[in-house]
Amino acid sequence: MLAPKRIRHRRVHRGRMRGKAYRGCMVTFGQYGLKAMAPHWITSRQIEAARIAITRHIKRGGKVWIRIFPDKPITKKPAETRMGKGKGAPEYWVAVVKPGRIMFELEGVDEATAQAAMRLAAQKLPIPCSFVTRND
Amino acid sequence: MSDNLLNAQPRSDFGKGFARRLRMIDQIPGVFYFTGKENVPLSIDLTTFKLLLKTKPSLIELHVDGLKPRECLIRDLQRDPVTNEILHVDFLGIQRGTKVKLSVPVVLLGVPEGVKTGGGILQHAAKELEIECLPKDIPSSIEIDVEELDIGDAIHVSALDFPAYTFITGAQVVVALVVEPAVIKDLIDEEEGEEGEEGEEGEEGEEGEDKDKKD
Repeated sequence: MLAPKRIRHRRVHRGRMRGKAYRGCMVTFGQYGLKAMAPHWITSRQIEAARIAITRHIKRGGKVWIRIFPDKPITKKPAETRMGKGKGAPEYWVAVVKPGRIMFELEGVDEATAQAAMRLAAQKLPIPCSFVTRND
Repeated sequence: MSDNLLNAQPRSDFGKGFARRLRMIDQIPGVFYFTGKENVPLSIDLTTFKLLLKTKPSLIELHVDGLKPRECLIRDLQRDPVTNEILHVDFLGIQRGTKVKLSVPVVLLGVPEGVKTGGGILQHAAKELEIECLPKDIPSSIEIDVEELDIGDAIHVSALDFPAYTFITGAQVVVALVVEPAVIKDLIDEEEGEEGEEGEEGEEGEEGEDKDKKD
């Protein structure tokens, strides 16, 4: 799974996800892309599940790009713990995704295969997604 | 003069409020600029402009009320990241006989030999190339034949021969290449790696905790 190798701060604030993704909103590397249509935290597990869904569907042929990286640590308090005593331990990593962000890109397969692969990947993600092509 | 005509009206209001009101009545804000002249803010009919874009014009003849017709290029097109609707357009006026710099899309023709026989993957590395040419020579796209490419072969900008224009993009830039498929290897790695991943995470976590204690 994707995770940063080194980090400056173990815990970060939650932040907000206002507005649209004006950067990373174009299909740049491949021919087809999967665009986020809503804001959400995408966990490294979800990214990995989507990646596996794409690579398994396209079998051989094709190249996949992952355009998001989970660089935000999310903490969690252990179960049955009283409040206080400091913030919980980092539990997992997420990528902050805003609407319009291209999350995955694909090249080297025909459009029908790419669309089917992206549909499978979208099922692994917690947000509505849209299939886009470079020519759109 | 080109056949691609576009009518536009000059506008005197600016700002996001006015731009939003324009978009609500199926118009889009734009601007026309030309070397040595003042910028002309415009409003354009969205439907007409979309129809014009479908023809992929290299040059547009812009008719602005109160000004003489000008040949121009679409220098920039702003789109909404979610809906992909056109938000704003920049037109750059050009002068006959003066060379212009612009980016032109690259179209690959044919199926490479390495893909047909060796099962390789064709990678379209440079989707656009920057060129310099006279306005009359502006192509709508650069078409490159890739049928002879085998696995491991690549086409660089230096190999392209188009006498009508010069490439500004570096000669060593790869335009297209055929690579071996790496997906099968990936799948094998995945299955092997599934058991080992949990152990790796544990190690990272411990390192992080140690750092925190030191702080």
